[in-house]
Amino acid sequence: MNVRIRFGKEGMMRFIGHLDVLRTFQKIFRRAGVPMVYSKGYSPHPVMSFALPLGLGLSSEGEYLDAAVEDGTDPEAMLAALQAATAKELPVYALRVLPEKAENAMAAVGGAVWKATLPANMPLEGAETALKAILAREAIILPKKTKTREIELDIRPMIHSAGIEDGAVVMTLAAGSRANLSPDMVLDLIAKELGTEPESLSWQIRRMDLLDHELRPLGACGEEA
Amino acid sequence: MRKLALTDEILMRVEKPARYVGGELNAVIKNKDRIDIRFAMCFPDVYEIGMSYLGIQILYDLFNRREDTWCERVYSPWPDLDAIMREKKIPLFALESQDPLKDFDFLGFTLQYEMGYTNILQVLDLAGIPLLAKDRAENDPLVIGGGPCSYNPEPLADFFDLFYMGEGEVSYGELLDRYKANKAAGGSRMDFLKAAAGVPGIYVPALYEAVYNEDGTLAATRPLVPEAPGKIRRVIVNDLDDTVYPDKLIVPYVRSFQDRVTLEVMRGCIRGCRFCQAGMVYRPLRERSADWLKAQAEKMLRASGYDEITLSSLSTSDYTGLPELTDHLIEECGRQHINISLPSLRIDAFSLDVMSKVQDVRKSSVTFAPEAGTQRMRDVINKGLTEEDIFRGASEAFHGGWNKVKLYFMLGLPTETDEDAKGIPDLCERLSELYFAEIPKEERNGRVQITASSSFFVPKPFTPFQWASMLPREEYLRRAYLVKDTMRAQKNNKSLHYEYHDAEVTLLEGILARGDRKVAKAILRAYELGCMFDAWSERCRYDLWMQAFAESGVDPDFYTLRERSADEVFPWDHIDIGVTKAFLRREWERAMAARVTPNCREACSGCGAASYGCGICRLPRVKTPAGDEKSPAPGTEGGNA
Repeated sequence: MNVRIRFGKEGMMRFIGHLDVLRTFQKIFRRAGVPMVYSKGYSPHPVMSFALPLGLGLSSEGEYLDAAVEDGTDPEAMLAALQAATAKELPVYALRVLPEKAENAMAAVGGAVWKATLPANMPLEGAETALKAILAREAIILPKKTKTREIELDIRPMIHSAGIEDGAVVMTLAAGSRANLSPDMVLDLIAKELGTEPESLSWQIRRMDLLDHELRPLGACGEEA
Repeated sequence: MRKLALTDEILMRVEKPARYVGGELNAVIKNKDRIDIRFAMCFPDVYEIGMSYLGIQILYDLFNRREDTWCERVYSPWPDLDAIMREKKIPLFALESQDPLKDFDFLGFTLQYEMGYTNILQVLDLAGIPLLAKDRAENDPLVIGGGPCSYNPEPLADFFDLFYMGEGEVSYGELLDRYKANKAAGGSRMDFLKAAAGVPGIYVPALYEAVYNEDGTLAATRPLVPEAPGKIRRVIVNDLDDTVYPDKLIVPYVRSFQDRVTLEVMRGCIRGCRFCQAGMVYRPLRERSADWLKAQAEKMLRASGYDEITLSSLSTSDYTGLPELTDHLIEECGRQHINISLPSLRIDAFSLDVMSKVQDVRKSSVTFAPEAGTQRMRDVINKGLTEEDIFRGASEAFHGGWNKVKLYFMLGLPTETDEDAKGIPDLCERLSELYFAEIPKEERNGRVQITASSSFFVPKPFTPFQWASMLPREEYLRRAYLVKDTMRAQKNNKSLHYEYHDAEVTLLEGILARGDRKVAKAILRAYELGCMFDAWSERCRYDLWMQAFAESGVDPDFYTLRERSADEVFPWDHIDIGVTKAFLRREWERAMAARVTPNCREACSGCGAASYGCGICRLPRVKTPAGDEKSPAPGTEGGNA
């Protein structure tokens, strides 16, 4: 059976790259004694897939990975064992058993919720006004480099929502393989709108959740342990 | 949330920030308010190298079992961070607490290779600790060194407050107790150092003076105070089943060079290869029981989550419990999808069988370490591997489906002639012929690939070759080219491949290995000139080192191009490792006569290690000594000549 866990990255874990997190979860599953399903072939490895890599330096409370475990494993006990086996700054929040036909986490990703705490030198009202002006535009055309050439891209449809909450920009942006918008792009637009150099601002960016193509949390799929 | 010593901005700028943030699985965090002793343990190289070393994990576990002590780790910042820390004046910190090293009671260095010496100075410098022990204030950390290079501590004597001779399990408890007692009694740094000098295995260099002869050789290393013993004897564990061993290995997030559980099956070696320091300074051979190892393997795998395990020792093929242990591991690990990574084993039917069970024969290779190209040369170095062994092993391997062979050699060995050097390509050629002769065309799995690599021999303290001269740089290279050119002219040269190590690094290693206290000045100068990470050959600046020797008045040739006389006093003569100088000299003379000495399992040769009264020295031997001079019965020879 397939399970999906939701986990976070805090503190020093922000500086551990995606592949190292993957290898760490393989160890955490072993430490927890979860019976994994292994791939076939000469060097079998546990079947595990991550929703979407998180950039280095960013924190998160909405990361997901799917893992194949032996049928009949008790989900509640599995969650407790994973929580006991993981590191403090790599918290495991929840575990769900996925329906048989569920899309894997990587294919399912369509959006991400981001929270960027305002830099100390940015006034709240200024940020609010700037954001409103950005959202009011019908199209936001930005240059984008592809492998071979530079194209123009309208990023406006990739901003599903954005607003200011508790001194932070909270936004839902397109994410995944079909369309992907980095939160930096929006934050740079805010800086430009305010006439500030983007490099002079240090935002604290946190991924709050990952969403599917219908913008429902990835963690809503299946049954909670 | 743990605080970090480096800002996000710096961490984002450096390569692999995971090297500096700690927080690994099983790393130990303690409440520093409830701690009496803070110990920072350093492997003076980059994180991934240091984290691969089991010794620190053993000491880390040992120290942290004490409630009054918190042991943390520190490694050399890579040059990118090194530059930022100097520019921004950020003091070097320990990984767990992220606190500056200057706040610690002890800073311990493991001395694994000579080319790491400048990195010790880097760590001290970045920490803001005076480089010279004599300049340190009452509150500076006590700097202590241990590990194989500490058996000749003299080139580093100026930089260290203490050295630990031997296995950490034995004396650290008493050393830390004395530290605490001295602190409680309001004693000074010097009071502690004098008290420490009385702990078995502890050497306090400041309590000794080196006196030289007119020709620059050493006259004596003399104690200056009554507290300092005339000889410092290495301490060892008698029964390895009775030691603590880390159940919970620290598991790094970034891939380290040994990304697996390491099971130490024994200490010491029976072989007595005359070039090998480890083979002498870790005597006598002491094995762990297979039952102990099986139980330990299970605990360590469970606590770490590793999917690979390996066995470690100086010569794992000589471990008597090997068949039982490998059978067990193959069965258990197979069930749990855990890989077994084998150390290099002597190639025979047994090892090939084990290898075929745990690795893909088509992708893997078989490894031999003949160390020298001719039987005469192998007799000189007392390498027990004969040509017959190699050919039998290779034949079995070829029939078993292997077609990749790796061979390790040394060049520049004492008495080596051009014929011996040419023996290397000759051996390779004949192995490739063996393949063509034994394996019919239709059964061949591609071309046979034979790779020979050679390093240049470096004479090390406490070996029978400690009297030997090294060779000039040009001569090393000439011999390497001789091997290369001879190989290229051979019929099967397309199946053969040869690589050799750097001659310049070899010479530097030779100076540092057998250096005396005078060499410290050159190490300091080399560091000031910018030498760091010398063990990374592409970073080693031989030109700067030569400049450092010239500026500090140290003549490299004095240390390298000179055969020592039989009665020369060595800088390490006041260290007693168990094996006696008289035995080593006997071995030197046998080497000059190309006579082999039986290994410890065949016969006792009276090396002196029996004075520890443990391990193989207490076991009956297979046969009587093969040598001509009378060997003492086991357990009768003690002390150091």
